[in-house]
Amino acid sequence: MTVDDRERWSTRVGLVLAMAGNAVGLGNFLRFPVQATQNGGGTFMIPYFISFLLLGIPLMWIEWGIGRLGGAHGHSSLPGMFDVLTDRKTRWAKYLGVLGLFIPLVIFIYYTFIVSWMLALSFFSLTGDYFGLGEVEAMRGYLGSYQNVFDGSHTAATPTILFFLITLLFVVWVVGRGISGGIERLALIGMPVLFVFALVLVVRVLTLPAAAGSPAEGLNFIWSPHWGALADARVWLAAAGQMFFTLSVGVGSVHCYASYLRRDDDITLTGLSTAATNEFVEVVLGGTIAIPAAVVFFGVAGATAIANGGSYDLGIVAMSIVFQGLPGSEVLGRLAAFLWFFLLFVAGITSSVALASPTIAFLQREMGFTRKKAVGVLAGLSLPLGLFHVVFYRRGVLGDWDYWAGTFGLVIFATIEIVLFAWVFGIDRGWTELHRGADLRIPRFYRVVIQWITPLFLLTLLVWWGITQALPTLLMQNLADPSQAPFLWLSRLLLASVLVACLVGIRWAWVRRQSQTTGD
Amino acid sequence: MEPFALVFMIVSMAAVTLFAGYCFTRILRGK
Repeated sequence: MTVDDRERWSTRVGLVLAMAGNAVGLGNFLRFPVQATQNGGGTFMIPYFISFLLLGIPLMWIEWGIGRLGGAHGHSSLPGMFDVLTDRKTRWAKYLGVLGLFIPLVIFIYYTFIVSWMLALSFFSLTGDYFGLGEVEAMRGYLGSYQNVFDGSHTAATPTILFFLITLLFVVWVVGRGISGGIERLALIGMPVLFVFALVLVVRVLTLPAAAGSPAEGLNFIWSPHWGALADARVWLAAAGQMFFTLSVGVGSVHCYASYLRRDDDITLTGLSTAATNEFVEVVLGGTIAIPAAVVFFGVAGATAIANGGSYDLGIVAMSIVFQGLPGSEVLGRLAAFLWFFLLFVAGITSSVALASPTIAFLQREMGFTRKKAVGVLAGLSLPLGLFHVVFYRRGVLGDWDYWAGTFGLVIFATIEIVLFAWVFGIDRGWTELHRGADLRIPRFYRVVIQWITPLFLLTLLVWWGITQALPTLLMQNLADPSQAPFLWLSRLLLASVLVACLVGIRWAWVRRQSQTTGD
Repeated sequence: MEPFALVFMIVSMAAVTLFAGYCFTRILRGK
């Protein structure tokens, strides 16, 4: 396959929806409302929008630019793209690109397990399996038994493994069908379904009769400004962190999708459209379902306690109880619960597919595997490592992987890519690259943002998180259960093995490429 | 709802809705 006859997106709307599907995930519906309520309510939106303008949008444009440039040179994964950014003059750039393989692969493995919970809960909502468990602790016990944490109705773990296998096989099947036949088609079906389900739930939540609270009190709870929060650095860093999660920047999947564009396809307007879609889903839809529903059923004090417990408590534990208490027949409650969990499943599965793509692209483009073989390798890697999470979830291994790959890793990767783009590739060439075939002229102010402000923003985040979180996490300080330590070291050993395997793969691919060039 | 909360909500939601609407209108027009 030459550079020109490779796969392409078949429609621009399909591309925007696939990219939006990549960005819209569980974080939009679960993480955003919790972050907003924990970090100043309405005032959180000020650092949030500033982070969107100074961090999210520039990084998103850069990733689209790097992806399209790499694609034009025959690369759909970061090692080759970073090599192109340094004009293939360095030996090290491709190895830095390992983060663009390692991070999405690792997140893919545990994220698919989380997404499988949503599929399971969609099913159990329809069957009414958990209906009747109207208390928080009872629901925690039910979910914990499903996750193999506590003894209970699902202690055998068979459904946990079954739903994980179904989810993994579905993702593998989609990516196996290719860009336009699999990923784009999933987005064209999945994203409208997500919008419709979310709109139905928004209307249902806002028309709920007042109980412990009212929907208006719920909206008031999430949007009330707490001005003192603006002076708190942690609030600004939380807003910046939310940008990574919500736009899926610093991962490697945006680059991969953008590599299937043609050389002169627009990226400025198309990229902005995906970011705008994501923001609409997050702020308008994500902010109007879980918190107002929780306030109606638990009151402001109860919802505060739940939101402080995190996204899982709010979006899964509390919402499961909310749906059991909806006015009307139980069937309607089950249906609403199904809409919610299936909505989360769709949001998650489109992201899962995007996370799988860089690995498939690397195996195909750089290592010369057929798609079938590449998909087989992905499944062969993900299955045992995913089952490791199924078995040892109770030992905290998923949280540890999520921290290193899905939180701290994103900031490291984003810092490296922006420095390479703005300073090694050069802002002048970079600016020209972004505007190739552009339907939208980027305001000139963004040249300064990309060259100075975003890198400084990222470096600040990197140092802050490094000191306050990464070091204590690495040393396992403040570990709630010290008996978890050996399991966490084992999981880190596995993480390191995945990293080494990716590095060996890059070395192997470049030796192969060199021998082919010599042979030619 | 408190006036400030209502203003924040309306302004934020309107901003992202108009932003998304503007982008998609241009995409659908092909420019």
